[in-house]
Amino acid sequence: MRGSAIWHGLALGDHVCVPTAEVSDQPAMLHEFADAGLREGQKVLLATSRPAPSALVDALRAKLPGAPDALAHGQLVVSDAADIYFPDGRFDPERTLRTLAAEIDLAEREGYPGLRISGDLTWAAAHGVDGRLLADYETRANLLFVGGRALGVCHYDPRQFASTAWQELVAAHPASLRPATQTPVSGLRCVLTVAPTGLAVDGEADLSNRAALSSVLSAVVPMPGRCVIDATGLRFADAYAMSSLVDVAVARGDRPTTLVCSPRLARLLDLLDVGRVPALSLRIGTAR
Amino acid sequence: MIPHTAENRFSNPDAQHFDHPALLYRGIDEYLAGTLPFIRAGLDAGDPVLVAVPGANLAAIRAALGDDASRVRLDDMTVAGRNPGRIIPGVLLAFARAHPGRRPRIIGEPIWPGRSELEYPACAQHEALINAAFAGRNAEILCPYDLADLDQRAIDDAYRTHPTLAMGARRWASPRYGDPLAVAADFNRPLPPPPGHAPTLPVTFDGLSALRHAVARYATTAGLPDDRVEDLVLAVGELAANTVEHAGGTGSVTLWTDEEHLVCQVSDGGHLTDPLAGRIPPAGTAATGGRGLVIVNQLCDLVRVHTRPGATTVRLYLRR
Repeated sequence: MRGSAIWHGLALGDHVCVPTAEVSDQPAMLHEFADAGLREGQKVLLATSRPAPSALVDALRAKLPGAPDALAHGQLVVSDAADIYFPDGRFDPERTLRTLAAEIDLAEREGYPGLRISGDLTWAAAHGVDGRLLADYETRANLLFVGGRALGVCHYDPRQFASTAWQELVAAHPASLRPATQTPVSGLRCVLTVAPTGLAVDGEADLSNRAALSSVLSAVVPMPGRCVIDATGLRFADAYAMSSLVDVAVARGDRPTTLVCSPRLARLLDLLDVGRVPALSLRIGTAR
Repeated sequence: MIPHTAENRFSNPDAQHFDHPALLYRGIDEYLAGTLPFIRAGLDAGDPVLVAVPGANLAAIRAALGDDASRVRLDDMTVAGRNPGRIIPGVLLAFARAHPGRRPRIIGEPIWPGRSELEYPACAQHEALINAAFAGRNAEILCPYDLADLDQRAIDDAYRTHPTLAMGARRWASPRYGDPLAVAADFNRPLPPPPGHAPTLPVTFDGLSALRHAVARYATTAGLPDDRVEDLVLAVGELAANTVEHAGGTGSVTLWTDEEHLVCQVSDGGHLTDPLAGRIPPAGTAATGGRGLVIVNQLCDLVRVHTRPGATTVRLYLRR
């Protein structure tokens, strides 16, 4: 079995693209994924296409000691991917986002600390869904996860996409796994914060998660009053990502924005000549 | 062009154009005789004045200005303009943008006797590209050239990169001024190959993070201080992202050290067609790809580029 360190390292708020060229690898990955979630008391939703739901349930019962109980109590749910992504044979991103939002709400009402979702999207090419539509869907899906009530991993088959389309799809996720080794590529963890109101951004921001960063930052734009973006956990940010952080403050207009960042990031914003925006105040902080 | 007289040569309040004279001087007296009237004319006209020249010359100007020194921005060009590629964005345009609607007067001395063979082609390109970057802008940039200690080659190139020459009280049009982009292209020359033992790393979309971490490890082992390691990592990250986005998706990074520098080369199959790439920062804050090469120039001590259709090599130098 591979990747256990990865699955156990996931936290609520994460949204990860997993290239799954070998579908036969999926069962093992899913056992690990479910196991990690159950151990943390989370509700686990596995939407699967291959293996088929019944085969996956059998495999989980056989290989995961806690599975029979969790399946019986509804802490572990195995769904047909078709029910979530194309109940009438058609992929409607809006409908799927509503379905997932309802599942997250349900898990909360049932008293779980969060919902851990594994989405099988390796059917995409078979259903004629193109990469751009999926990239747009995944970009918007970030708003489901950034609240910190759920985490999601999305299994795609990279062979189904042209390289540019694949890169767009990957970049719609804050984090992704490297196909060959299933070890983390650059990744971001972005979670909305309550006190203070705002967003915490950790990890590495680059071309491989550019659209994802823009989408989670867009969640900050409508927030009322002062909002705080805590970027002290940002270990790397390229020039595009750095100016994206400033853009949020500009987009918020009169409502003030504080960016908490390392002295280095503050210096780089100055070098980029984007740090001096009336609505933005910089506060130097150290990594949490 | 009619030679200006001493009285009007540096003060033309109606000037609404770009002027870029090379001041040819021998010794500090000629230097001050050529620069001080330029500065004082600017102060008298209420224009913003910047003096960005090497330390010793800067000290001489500061002393000669007396109390007026506080009205002039004084920068050591060997620091602010260590990398010739950052002088346009980080020194000249930065000053012009800080004074919108005004006519900035700048003394910029990017070529001094200590400039190395490695740096010189980038310096000459910079001097040529000032003309393109400031075309149509309302500004004047006076560039002192040390006739006593600079190579004749540097003086000859100054004739090609400056539309106007100045010496003592005299100003005249350069007989050999060349098209800025053509002159800059003359210095777009193949770089010597990296040493055979230099490690090479692949540039790929899904390997950007791994590449950055590998570059950081190499630079740390080579003895670069932590903050400079991070500067290098950011610069390489920008170039690698450009390779992935604009140059066919893959390329390679090669790392080595020479006596003075850590050298990092990024090669790909692209063609850098805009000679001003990395020299004109985008206005405003909107996130665009246009800031990547600017920050590379800002962070590195020297950037050398050779580009042609199908092959681009960018070599970054950071002092050890």
